[in-house]
Amino acid sequence: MVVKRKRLLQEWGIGYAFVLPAVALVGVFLVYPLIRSIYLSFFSWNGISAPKFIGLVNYVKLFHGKEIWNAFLHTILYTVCSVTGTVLIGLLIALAIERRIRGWRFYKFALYISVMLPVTVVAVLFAKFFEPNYGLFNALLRSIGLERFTQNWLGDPKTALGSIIAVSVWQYSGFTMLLLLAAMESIDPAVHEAATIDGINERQRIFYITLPCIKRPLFVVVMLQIIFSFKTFDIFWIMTGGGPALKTEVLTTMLYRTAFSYGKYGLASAISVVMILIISLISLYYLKKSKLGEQVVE
Amino acid sequence: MKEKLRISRVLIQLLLVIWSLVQLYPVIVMFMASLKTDSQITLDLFGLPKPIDLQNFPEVWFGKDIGLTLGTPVLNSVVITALTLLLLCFGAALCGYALSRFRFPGNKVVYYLLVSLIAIPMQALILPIYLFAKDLGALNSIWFVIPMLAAFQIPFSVIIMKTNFESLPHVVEEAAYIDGCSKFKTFWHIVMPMSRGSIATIIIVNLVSIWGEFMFSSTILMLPNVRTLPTAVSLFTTNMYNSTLGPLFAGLSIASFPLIIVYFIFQKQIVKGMAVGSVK
Repeated sequence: MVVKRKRLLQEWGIGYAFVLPAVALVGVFLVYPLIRSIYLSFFSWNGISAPKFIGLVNYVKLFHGKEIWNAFLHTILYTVCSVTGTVLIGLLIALAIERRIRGWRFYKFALYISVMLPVTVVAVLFAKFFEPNYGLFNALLRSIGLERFTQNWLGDPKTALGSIIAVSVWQYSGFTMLLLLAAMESIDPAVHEAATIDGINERQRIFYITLPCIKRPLFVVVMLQIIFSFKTFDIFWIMTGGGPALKTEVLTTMLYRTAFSYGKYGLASAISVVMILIISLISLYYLKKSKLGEQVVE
Repeated sequence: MKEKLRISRVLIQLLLVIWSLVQLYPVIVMFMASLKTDSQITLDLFGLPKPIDLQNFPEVWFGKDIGLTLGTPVLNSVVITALTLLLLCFGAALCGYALSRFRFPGNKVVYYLLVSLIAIPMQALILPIYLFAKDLGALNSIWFVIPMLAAFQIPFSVIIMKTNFESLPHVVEEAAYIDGCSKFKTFWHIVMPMSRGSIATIIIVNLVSIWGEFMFSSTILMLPNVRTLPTAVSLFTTNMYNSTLGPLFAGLSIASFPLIIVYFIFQKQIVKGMAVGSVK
């Protein structure tokens, strides 16, 4: 009996020892900051004087101000447009590659390169291309005689957000393409063969076989892109910093500015909590849905 | 009918060629501009570099004239990326193994904790993490950033490892225990070598994001001697003027080379790893 108990305790000890590094890392760098965020959101604090408890005032201030709605609007616009763009382009290219169009190996290889580039490189590169005087875009437009379409792309409130969306679609459509292609290629070839014998045409093949078979991966890709877009910070911060006139301000840039430019730690924490709530709700819905889907398939 | 099919094929082919140009042209312009002098860039951005000018690379690497060096940030990024991946793989493998093999009170709690942490957006934690680093006196220390970056990726990576271990047969391990092999030794010498594929997936899925991580590294590592590559690159927009475009493009190229070379060599593994790693 004693021996058995000693054995059991020993096994528990080994279990704890194995999970310790991961749990310690996560506890220190995720759980603790998370709790501190929630805690700080009830205080007024500039980082220097003593924090003052003010209850829900930060949240009231936040939702009564215009800034958060402005940031919300741009976050949602950016998310909707870049998700639609990346998923549609990725889907079309994946369909063409899956049908083994001539040169498909090259396309599969080349169209993923942009995904491998660091976001900061892409942001700086395109900021230079969008530059109004010597930038690539205006130079291209001038060289084909479309002078009147030249723009101060990132400096004009009308074109700034659209330009950033275009860059995101440029960078990430390769990612959606790859995931959707992998899903299409895992469809059982026997299904396609049977359909060919039945004399199916290309359009029917796409709408009645390929698309229905990748429904679940398509859902996964859309959700991944939504979550990813909601959290985007780098490209905004480097290309426009939220400007001009806050016309590209999103939740992440608003959070960063409130914390590090204005030093309003309490208000910034309230923004964090709102962001965490929104994104974790979307993520949990996604995690639950995709798991359920798996069980149904099995 | 056949005629119609041929026309649509040609149309699709044309669209693909145009899109490939849109995708590749900016990257090609970047590489070519890095081989041009500043006057060549302003006068003829589209043309081939004539003559090829390699001066930009040493200039941006040592940064004597432009006041920004890329040499130190490259080294910092290499060290941080390598150590973060090492810590991440080690932590995730150990934890995933315990969750799939050992029974102990709290086993399920750890699992659900990790699953729900996948949902937390790290970006929202920038302020408390900055304050934490400040409290510890760890601002400008890479030894704070390495475990931090590893921790961000732990939840997802543990799930990948757990799924991996569950798919391995128990028989070999049981044989090892009977031979008197300890739990850790069995894990390290027998189970880990069988899990190379999953470790590779974790590295592939996280390599690009860790190498390119900007928000946290630029906030915590501000001094020139600890700066990472993305921070240095981002400073190009503010610190450099038109007269230093050549070094700028050379700098962007240097920041992209490592990952593009990795992609050229490991294309097959990366394509497979991303597909498996992100959908799971």
